[in-house]
Amino acid sequence: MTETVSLAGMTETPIVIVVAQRPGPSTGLPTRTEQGDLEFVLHSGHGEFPRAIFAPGDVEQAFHLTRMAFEVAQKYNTPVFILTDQFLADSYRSVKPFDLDELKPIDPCAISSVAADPHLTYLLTDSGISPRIFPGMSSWCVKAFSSQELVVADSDEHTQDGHLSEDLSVRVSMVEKRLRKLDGIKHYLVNPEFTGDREPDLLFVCWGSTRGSTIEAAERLRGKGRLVATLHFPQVWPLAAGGFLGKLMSAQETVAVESNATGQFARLIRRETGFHIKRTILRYDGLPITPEYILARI
Amino acid sequence: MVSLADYGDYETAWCPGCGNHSILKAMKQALVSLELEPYQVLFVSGIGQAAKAPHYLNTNVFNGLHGRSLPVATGAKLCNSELKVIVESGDGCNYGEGGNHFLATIRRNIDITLIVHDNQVYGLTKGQASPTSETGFVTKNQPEGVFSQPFNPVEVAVAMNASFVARGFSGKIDHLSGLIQTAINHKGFSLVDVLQPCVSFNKVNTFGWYNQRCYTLPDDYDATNRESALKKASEWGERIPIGIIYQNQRPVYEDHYPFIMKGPAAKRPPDVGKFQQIIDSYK
Ligand SMILES: Cc1ncc(C[n+]2csc(CCOP(=O)(O)OP(=O)(O)O)c2C)c(N)n1
Ligand code: SF4
Ligand SMILES: [Mg+2]
Repeated sequence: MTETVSLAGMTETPIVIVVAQRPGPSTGLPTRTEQGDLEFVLHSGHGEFPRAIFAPGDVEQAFHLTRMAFEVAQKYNTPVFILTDQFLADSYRSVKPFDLDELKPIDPCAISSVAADPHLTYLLTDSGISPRIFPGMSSWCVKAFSSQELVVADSDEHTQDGHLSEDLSVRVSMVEKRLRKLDGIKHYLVNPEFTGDREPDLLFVCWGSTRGSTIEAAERLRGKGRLVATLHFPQVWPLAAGGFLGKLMSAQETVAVESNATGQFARLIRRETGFHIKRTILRYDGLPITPEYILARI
Repeated sequence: MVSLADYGDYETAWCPGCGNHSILKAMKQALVSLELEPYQVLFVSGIGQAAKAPHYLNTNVFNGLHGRSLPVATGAKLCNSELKVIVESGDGCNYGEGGNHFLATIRRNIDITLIVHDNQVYGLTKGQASPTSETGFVTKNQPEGVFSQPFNPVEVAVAMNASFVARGFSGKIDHLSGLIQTAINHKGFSLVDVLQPCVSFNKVNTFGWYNQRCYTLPDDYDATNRESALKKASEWGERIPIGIIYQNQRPVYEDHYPFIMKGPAAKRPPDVGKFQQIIDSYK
């Protein structure tokens, strides 16, 4: 997978990759579940380039975030991940029918306001986004183009027209162009979902498929009179501290609930915001986290 | 009318005397003879000296990863079967790193053309042995000579019932250009393995070495007879046959799937009505 991720980063090819995590390393427990690959997915593929990672917490989120993943990938011409796990991927549940009317079609030709004629696959723009057209179909994407416009893409570092280049100033401008796209991707952030008491004694922090169990454990604790809340992240990259740091700080104590052995998401939050989630409830025996598993460790 | 000028004239990074120059020339001739406009063609390549070839053509290009040209070409063809998709890469790229893709593409029989610049060496990385290097071939990396037995792509392709298998020689440009034209016109997967001297790193299989051995198949050679084709394909050494070794009319992958035949995928938005039907079927 990693060479494709890196290739897509360089050629600026939109791609949506679903990673359904199972316990590793290697073949590990191939029919069981884990959230052990957050750091792997975040860093997969050599080189520096933007990406987004969605982590649906249930069936509905899986549906809507998948659509959003395509939207982000097509708009920013870069890889986007849906990070789920065996537990959610193999789950069946009844849900309300999805409302398809509210879903706008996604335009496969990424046409920004700027375009060049002749077409430049890697046109330098303020947003970092270059217009994308398809070989032999350019007039279908851009009416002003003739159908004879050419598309050139390269895994080597390249000039705006897509041909390989070792010009060091080209290199610098292309690195910066690719990275600029991350600023735009941040506008597509899905903020974490906060449920429970506003100023909790105890705040659970979770991501992806542990959502249901964590929310239920919090509810049960509230039933016993405790002030408890849950902060669930359906998107784990990029992170914008403004959307959740206040919530983390409003709690007396924070606890990260994750299906891995090292608390990868808690570590990521600390790296990005400086906020240290000191307690963790971790499960890495291959079974999904249950409310009982959480309650037994509180 | 398409002319040679439409495909451009670029300065290359290849050594003077390299067989790649002649293959590029033969390719341009073929494209012009077939009256293919640059926008109707997509070239896909991997990494290597051969893989640079598409950069020297004014056309659609995807220059991807070493060994991975066939998967990209497959994807492109399935997304837009109206494109002429041509893969150009080296022997290392296609038969080493990309070996499994080579087998898979033959099995699927996708209507794309693979042109392998076969110099029996890794040229770009300065002369290590490739899968087609001969046993005993001495390199800086294999100072005691290659122990493994060489891969014969033509023989493997015929054995797998590939739908078009040819061998060319960069020293015979017009003959090669004709082979490329027939390969592109062939419906189904077509392979042209092109013997090509690497003047810098292969001092054994030189222009003279190939020129002495390569002979064109006689007019009465029957390329549709698999049994004799297998025999021809295994011929290597003192005499090396060039021309169309084997050809058949196997069903083509794209024709098996109606949704591929309906034109470019990008022009077909998701069928929301169908999706609604699926949702309703659960009610
Ligand atoms: C995955 C990967 N492995 C190795 C390399 C290094 N590499 C670049 S070109 C090449 C070999 C090229 O040989 P060939 O495909 O025969 O092309 P030639 O240069 O001879 O035309 C290798 C090993 C790479 N770029 N990527
Ligand atoms: S190193 Fe060999 S293959 Fe590469 S350009 Fe020179 S002669 Fe050609
Ligand atoms: Mg080679």
